[in-house]
Amino acid sequence: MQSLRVILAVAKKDLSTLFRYPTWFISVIIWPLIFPLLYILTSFAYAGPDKKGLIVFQKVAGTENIMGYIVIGTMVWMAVNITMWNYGGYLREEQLRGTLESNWLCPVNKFSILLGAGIISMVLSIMFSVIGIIEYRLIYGIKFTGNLIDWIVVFLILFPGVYGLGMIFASLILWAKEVNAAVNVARGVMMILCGITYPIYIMPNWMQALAKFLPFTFGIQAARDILIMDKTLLETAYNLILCSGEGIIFLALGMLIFKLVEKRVKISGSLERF
Amino acid sequence: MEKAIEVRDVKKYFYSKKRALFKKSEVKEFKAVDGVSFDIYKGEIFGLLGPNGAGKTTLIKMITGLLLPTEGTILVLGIDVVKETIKAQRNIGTVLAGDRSIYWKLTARENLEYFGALYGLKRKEAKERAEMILERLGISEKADQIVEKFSTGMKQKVALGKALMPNAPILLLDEPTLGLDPQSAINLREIILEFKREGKTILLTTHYMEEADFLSDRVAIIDSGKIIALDKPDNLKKSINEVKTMKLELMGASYEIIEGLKNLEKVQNVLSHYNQQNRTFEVTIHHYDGESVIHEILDYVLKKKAKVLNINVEEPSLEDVFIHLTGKSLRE
Repeated sequence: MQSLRVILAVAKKDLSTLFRYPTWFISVIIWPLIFPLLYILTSFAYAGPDKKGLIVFQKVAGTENIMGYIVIGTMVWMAVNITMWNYGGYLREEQLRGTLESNWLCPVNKFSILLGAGIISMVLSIMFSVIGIIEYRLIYGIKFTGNLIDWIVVFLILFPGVYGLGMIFASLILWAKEVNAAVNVARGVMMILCGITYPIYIMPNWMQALAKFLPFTFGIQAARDILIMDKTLLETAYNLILCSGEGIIFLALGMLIFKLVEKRVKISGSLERF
Repeated sequence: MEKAIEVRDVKKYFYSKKRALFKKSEVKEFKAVDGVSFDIYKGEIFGLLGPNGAGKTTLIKMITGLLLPTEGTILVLGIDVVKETIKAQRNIGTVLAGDRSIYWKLTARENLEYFGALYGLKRKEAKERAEMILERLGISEKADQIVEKFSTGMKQKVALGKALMPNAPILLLDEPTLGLDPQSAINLREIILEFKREGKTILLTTHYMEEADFLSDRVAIIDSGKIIALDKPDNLKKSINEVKTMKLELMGASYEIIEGLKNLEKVQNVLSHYNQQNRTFEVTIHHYDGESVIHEILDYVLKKKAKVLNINVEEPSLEDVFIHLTGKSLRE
């Protein structure tokens, strides 16, 4: 009960701050539109004026809906990206602000604070995705398949992995005190390996093997199956199980790393150090 | 007397690695706290006085469970802080890092309610307690304003309010008046005395000797990670009763002349500060036996053609105790 109270208090505090300074909302509207556009236009160029190239794409991707294929990938990637920047840098931001120690002085399991911090990333990710889907439907004219419940299931299945990765980043950044380099490397690797704009089968075998260690690879595939390929949850169960299974491993790893880093900063006295 | 905090042979060493290309890295050890033991009794204000870097904050952080001691034991109301950190933290309200320890983008009320929740208060309870604390600290009129618009004194009050939210029996205040204007500092000291009257145990760290003297029932003087004296402020001052303090304001003096004062018989310590605005030296001299040495000092200064603008013979202060024990000033 106390942990739940802490999680909600942290979320309320962060949401109050977020909505008090709402300029970020502009990026929520613009970014989902701009980000996939680069890939969409590139794909159009490669498809040729008579779109012959699309036949090849359909053979490897299983759909002709190239725009839908790309925006699903970029949408999931954006959700992961937001989490890595916001959630991954959360403890570091508290540290720079000077409030991390105040939180650590409180008689609570510090992991609850980290869990509460994840809610704001979740809210932002949901906002990005919902606004993205509306914009893709209205502006790009993409037709989505499946129903709302299936969409929610896919979204929920992605969360353990996203949360776990965020925790790993939040903990390591608290220790290493550097956000940018770590996040840039990770998101670059993920962008390539998870196949946000292409099927992973086009990559060399060793890259495909690496891609299968990331829950988002399966999450993106499941999202595509449901949202543009009109498959049922059962038909994409393989992807859903692997995405959530690997996500839970990420989550457990995140908890373990957080505990180790928490002890380490208590020994080194680096909790307040910049 | 019942003990609120027991600190037993506590050490905190930090290690830093100095890396060099093609060389074995060198590990440097820094003893921030070096074998400190003391007890704080229930209901007292215990002052920890020492210069910057003496180990005061490190000690407070170990008591609150933010830092793990390298060696030693710390008990808070009989609870081992290392073994049962969360249980021990329930009994402590802490102000660390002053105004930076609160959220500037939240209102004062939101800050207090947030920390109330983290201290385990239910929503209604947190709201009522926050209201009461805001009223008591005299900031209820601005309770719903964003903290970043507050003055340093007001922010410090919100930080103090945060520490009061759990209504814990022990308060740890790390440099609570640092950066405050004199009036705000006086107000805050009054508030601290009120907490004592309510029976709270207070550990206060400061490098302002007047503050330690005014507020503390007992004072521990800490320097280079070690406690070098611990007693009631009056007893500490009495302990150097044979040492007299003389303060001189000199014009036309030099560091050479000041150094020369140290060679005079019966002079124990000489500390000086050059006032650039007035172009004068403010010199504090500790000496044994009053009259004859005063003549000797004045003769020496006048012989060196310096002008004495002011001369005072003062009762010893805690600063003098510190100088007597370490040979340096608290502000060094």
